[in-house]
Amino acid sequence: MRGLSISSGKIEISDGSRVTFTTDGTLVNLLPASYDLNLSDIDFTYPDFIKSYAYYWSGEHTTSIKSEGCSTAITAVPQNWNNFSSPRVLGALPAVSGIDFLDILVYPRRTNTPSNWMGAAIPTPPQQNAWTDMGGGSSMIVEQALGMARSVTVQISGGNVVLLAQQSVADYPTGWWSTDPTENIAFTYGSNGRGLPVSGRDSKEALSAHWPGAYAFQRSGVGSTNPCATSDNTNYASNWRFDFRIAFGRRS
Amino acid sequence: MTVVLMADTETGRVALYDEASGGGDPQNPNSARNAPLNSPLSHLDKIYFHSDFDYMEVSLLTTVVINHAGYPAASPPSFNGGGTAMGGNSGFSSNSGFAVGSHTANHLLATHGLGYIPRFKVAVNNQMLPPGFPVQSNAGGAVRAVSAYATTSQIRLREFGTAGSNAMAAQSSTYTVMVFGAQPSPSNNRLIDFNPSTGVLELGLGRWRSDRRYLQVVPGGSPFGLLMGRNVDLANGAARAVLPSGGFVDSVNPSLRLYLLGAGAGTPMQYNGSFTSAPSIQVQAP
Repeated sequence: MRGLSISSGKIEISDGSRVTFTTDGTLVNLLPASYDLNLSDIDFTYPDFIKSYAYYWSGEHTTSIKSEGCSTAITAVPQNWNNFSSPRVLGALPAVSGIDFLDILVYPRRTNTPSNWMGAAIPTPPQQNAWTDMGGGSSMIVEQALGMARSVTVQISGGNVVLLAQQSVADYPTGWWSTDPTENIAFTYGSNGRGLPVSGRDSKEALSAHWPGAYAFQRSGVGSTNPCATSDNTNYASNWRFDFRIAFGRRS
Repeated sequence: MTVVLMADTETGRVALYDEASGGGDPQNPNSARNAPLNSPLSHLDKIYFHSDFDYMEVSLLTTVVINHAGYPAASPPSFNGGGTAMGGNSGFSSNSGFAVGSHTANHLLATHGLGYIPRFKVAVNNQMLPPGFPVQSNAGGAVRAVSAYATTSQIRLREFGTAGSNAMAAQSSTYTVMVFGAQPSPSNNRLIDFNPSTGVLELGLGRWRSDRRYLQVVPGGSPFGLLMGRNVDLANGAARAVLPSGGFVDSVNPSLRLYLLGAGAGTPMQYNGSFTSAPSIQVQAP
């Protein structure tokens, strides 16, 4: 059957065996293009992680063997951060009652280079510099590596189209022992506590012929004269830029 | 509730709608009961079709099989931290293979040739792809995720694979591609037109036609799940992606553990949150 029919309390518009439309359902009614939300160069920065350090120290001071070593790593402490309580507002919904459908295209790209994570650049799963479909609202993992991830979500919330961001760092490895830096073998950590080692910081070693004497490589603050460096020389803040093309409508 | 199909030659509008309250002459386009015709934005919830609105008309509908290549397992990751002074280090070792982004690929899904960036949807297994949709995973923690994107002439698929402790097998997946063209320009001067020889009904100056396909919510058929909100959550440095039609995939192998110098039971690296559902609707273009 082709054309318009009225039966059983519904109107159907058919094309042969295919029903193009029925009043039993709802076409996705998009508002005219003048209501679209088109945004360019929306910048968002994921903050640097809360960090600490891990300080490995070992010393031998027997009569015949004198040697000492230290190695340090910058660590990222376990953390979960998001902006859900105060999301980034991209724009208000049109002042039209009944909007319950979005169609979202996003054009993402990272505009800086965070520090290497465990010796390598942080991978970015999305196709950058290309228009990607986010459906009626969805999420995208923008960065992911062992022990860390960042994501972005675009959706309707409270009468606005909002950008939700999230980042997370894993718990620290097991195996810490002896936090006393004067013990023969010791791990200590910075004021923010233990974390996941993510960037090598320093390394010193002196064997018996070159032993500096009196444990020079112990962690600073316990009488050492030449500790391994612990200052944070990393920056994991990540800048992303998005363009959006968002159409509004109703589907119910 | 009375459903009305009415055209107003004064305003050039045609609509199919539920009558509004307020009564009045049913044949008068400006009566209160016919307000959805000439004030559609104030009666969005009553509209089935309106010539003022844009409809997601399918300009290209195709299915394509992508042969995803297998990729090898990864070694258990380790990190030396600052170095191995005195036989130790400030890094970690692990017990299970894991490598993010060890495999990438890019595929052509369809050529639309429209000359502009269209709206589009790509579906697999009756679910429309959000970015980074996991299409395959295995017991060793490998995950293959895909994202569809558009150029002015093509719809393409980016593949991003994480390796686990077992090699990822090759897989052939069937993708349904829907490209939605821009709203057509008027093709005639008739608000309602039926051609008895072709059986085609046209509405709104020919911009809506019964011989085309339109995205809609309708019972029956073979719909696709379409996300309508957040579907990814992060916890313990790992991600969980909830799928449009239910279920979820975690980004990290639950057996992966990290050790500092190999001591202790090992710290689990998997997602440890409680996110299990995401808002979605069922849509199709019959």
